[in-house]
Amino acid sequence: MTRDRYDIAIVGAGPAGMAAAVEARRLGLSVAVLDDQPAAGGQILRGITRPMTGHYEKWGQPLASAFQASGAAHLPGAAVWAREGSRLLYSMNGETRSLVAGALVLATGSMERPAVVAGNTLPSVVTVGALQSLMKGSGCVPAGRFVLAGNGPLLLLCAIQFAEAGARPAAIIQTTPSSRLLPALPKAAGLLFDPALLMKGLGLLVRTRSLGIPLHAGARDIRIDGTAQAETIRFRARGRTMEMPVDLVALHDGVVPNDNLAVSLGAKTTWNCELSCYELVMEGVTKVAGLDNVWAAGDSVAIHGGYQAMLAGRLAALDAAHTLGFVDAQSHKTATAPLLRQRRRLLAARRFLDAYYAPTLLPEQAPDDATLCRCEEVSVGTVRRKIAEGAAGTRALKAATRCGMGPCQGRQCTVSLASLLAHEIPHAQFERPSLRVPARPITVAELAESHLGMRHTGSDA
Amino acid sequence: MLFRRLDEKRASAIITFDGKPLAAFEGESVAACLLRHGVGFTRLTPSGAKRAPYCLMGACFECTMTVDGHTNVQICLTRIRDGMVVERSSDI
Amino acid sequence: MSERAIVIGGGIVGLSIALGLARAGLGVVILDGADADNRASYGNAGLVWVQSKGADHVPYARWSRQSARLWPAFAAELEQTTGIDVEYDQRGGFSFCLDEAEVEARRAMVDKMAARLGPENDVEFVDAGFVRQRVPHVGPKVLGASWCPSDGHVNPLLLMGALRKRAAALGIDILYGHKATRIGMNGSHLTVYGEGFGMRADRVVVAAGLATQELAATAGMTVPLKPVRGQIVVTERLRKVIDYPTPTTRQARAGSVIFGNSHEDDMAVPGTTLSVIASHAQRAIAEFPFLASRRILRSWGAIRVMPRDGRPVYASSGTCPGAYAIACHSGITLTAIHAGIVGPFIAAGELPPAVSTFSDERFHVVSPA
Repeated sequence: MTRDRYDIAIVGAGPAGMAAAVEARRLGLSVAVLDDQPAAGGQILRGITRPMTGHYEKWGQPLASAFQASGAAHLPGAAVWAREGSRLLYSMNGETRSLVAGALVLATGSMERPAVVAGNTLPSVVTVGALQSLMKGSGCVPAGRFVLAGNGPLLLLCAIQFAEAGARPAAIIQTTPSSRLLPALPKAAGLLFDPALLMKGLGLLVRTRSLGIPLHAGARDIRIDGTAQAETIRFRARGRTMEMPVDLVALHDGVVPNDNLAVSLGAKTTWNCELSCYELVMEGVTKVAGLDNVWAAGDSVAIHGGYQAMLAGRLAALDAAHTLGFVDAQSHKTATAPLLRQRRRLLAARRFLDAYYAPTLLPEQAPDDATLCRCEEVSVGTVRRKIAEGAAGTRALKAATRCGMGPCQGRQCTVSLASLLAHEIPHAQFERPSLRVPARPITVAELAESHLGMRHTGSDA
Repeated sequence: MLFRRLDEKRASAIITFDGKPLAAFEGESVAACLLRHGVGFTRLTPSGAKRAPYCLMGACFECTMTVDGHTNVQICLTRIRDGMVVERSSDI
Repeated sequence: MSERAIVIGGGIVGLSIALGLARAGLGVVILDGADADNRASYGNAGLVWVQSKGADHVPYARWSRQSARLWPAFAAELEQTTGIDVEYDQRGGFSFCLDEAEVEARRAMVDKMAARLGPENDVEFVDAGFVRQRVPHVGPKVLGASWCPSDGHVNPLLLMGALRKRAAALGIDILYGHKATRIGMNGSHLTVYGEGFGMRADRVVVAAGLATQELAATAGMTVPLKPVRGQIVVTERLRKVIDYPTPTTRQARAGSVIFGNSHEDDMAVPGTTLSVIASHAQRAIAEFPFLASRRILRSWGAIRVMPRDGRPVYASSGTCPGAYAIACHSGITLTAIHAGIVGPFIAAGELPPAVSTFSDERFHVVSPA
């Protein structure tokens, strides 16, 4: 097993990870970036190092260029699965390697909220993020008839990108309830802090119209049917039931932190009722509470968007460098102050987005036959029944249903489980089901070879 | 054929799926390649239901297949390589 | 009006006792704690195991065997009444030896068991050939094993579900989030007190895992317990090829292989450590080389209950007549006898004679002046 030593290890090469790397290098630290993707960029900047299409935020390319020039060691295809003291273990091509780093920054980003819709596990049902991943990462677009369904600015953004690339979606089925706009407006004052965001939102609506993409607003009761793959999508809108033939359905209902690694390392999380997702418990802005020398930045902490992720990445690098002694207190304060100010202003802008685009495709709205746990094939109905039979917390529910015990280890179902529980039992226990080592599936041989320590295993019962 | 390429480049590699050669493009993921070729599903669940790639970023584990003899590889995170052999993970 | 029982603790032991009490005609209420509480019922390997029990204490060997004999009928009745198949399988179990030192130690244990139990003994030492006939995938490092045809295993989560369902069908009320704090007498009425409640009962059984020690003490019973952490590793679902359970490795019916057998005494913090689970993986590969290339999905380190002298404790209270306390390490193995015998005896107002040797009186040591 190779043993490399760095001042700081960063997990994730999206906006937060890249920004942390650039900042840490600027401060003179040696940096390793462990990236489970084949190339830098994370999700929203996927493909940015070898662009096949040009749709990136304007701060994306400069960041990517700076990252590539920074001298940080980038390890693609590296899945971090454990940490022991300052030693990080990661799996690459089925083999485990390790490196040592005094500081760890987790920048594992976000993932699509698992949309709980009848038919969601059929082949040719994907997420909108998946479509973007295919386009930006592999230069592919849908070939047949496809629709985008769900809620969030990404829906319109994606529809436009694909239409402009010559693959127009047959429809946008928008589940954002129209009744939300008025109550959300008071929070829109924060948008004035981020005028670019406001203009972008309006611009998206205008462009969608001009491209002639049919938009069904206020949709609900989505159901996808098909035998070997998705064939029809049904929904209700404007009091009518609509039915459309499809080859592909892309769902989107916002994003949630991709925090399994942090939790398996011992980080604690709290349940955010408004956004129906877990958020990391932090000490200050970037330090992960309860862990030694571990910081976190970006959407894996809480969903604040790509630009905030960049700011947080820089802050995390500065905080870590300060703790390690690379930056004195005064320089640290001088460098972090403007970043913190900018962060506060931009957070105010999110309040409207969070309210207006709060989740819509939650299990509480889904029929009993929708799948809640994909890996273990557990339906929403089964979970409802177990709650009715007395399972009053996430742990009891997990034990009673097996939700979260499959290969994805709850990535696609824990938020749904907690959300349904919150809906049925407002004072339920939301303690995050525990996640331990390995944070990614590894072979028994990889585990066996990771530690040549004492014999702990006896054979007597 | 669920997906198509945006550019007009020629394929630069051949991978094998289920014994059949598939034209592949440098830099694309194995998942993208299979989806372009209309491969309908990547795996079966314990109850025998067909599943295909869903998140395309390594968070759902629906796309796990056997690649060059390594079982349960997430093909959305794997770039194609000329000569790669991809199969559905059989009953292991 | 029928008598009323309160069982403190809704885990495997509490549920089994409650079933026994209910079938004997009592009205039963179970008080259970918080969702986040440590629960050994969710963190065990599901073994219904006798071969290693009681080599040093014959009554324990007998007690375990008696329960194992009751298990098949118990599992069948559970399935009939709840529709849940708890995947109980009893065709025998092995405990593998991977080097000469283990062989020697195991032979010695088997010999002792045979000497102590005489004709009742069914544990023997077997060679690698015997093992390989039944478990073809064992590796060359397996030199031999102890074997007992009475051993078996069950799916612990399904068992919990089935016990709960049976309890509901028998009219047993399970009150979650009701943490009991003490047992006392309110005049002549046996009462369980907790935060914001006081409940009377004719029988009270404390089966609250590690919390039993403190609760039992409020009723004058001595139940010295220690937490023991057991770390376990679980693989993805695999084709079913291991048909016999062992304490270190067993394959569930659905295909996951569950491996690892470690004991960290007085460890009360759940979780896993790399060095321990890595050694589990090393042993698993030595036992079953094919596992090397198979994937691990998760691990856990659950806190289990261990009476300090290793034997079960069945205590009855002198200060609060009608109150009992039960603590054991092998709650799964003893499920059948708890439901079938202990519960009904307590309903009738006493403990079974067979457990008098496990009373807490053995802890009342009079120190020299």
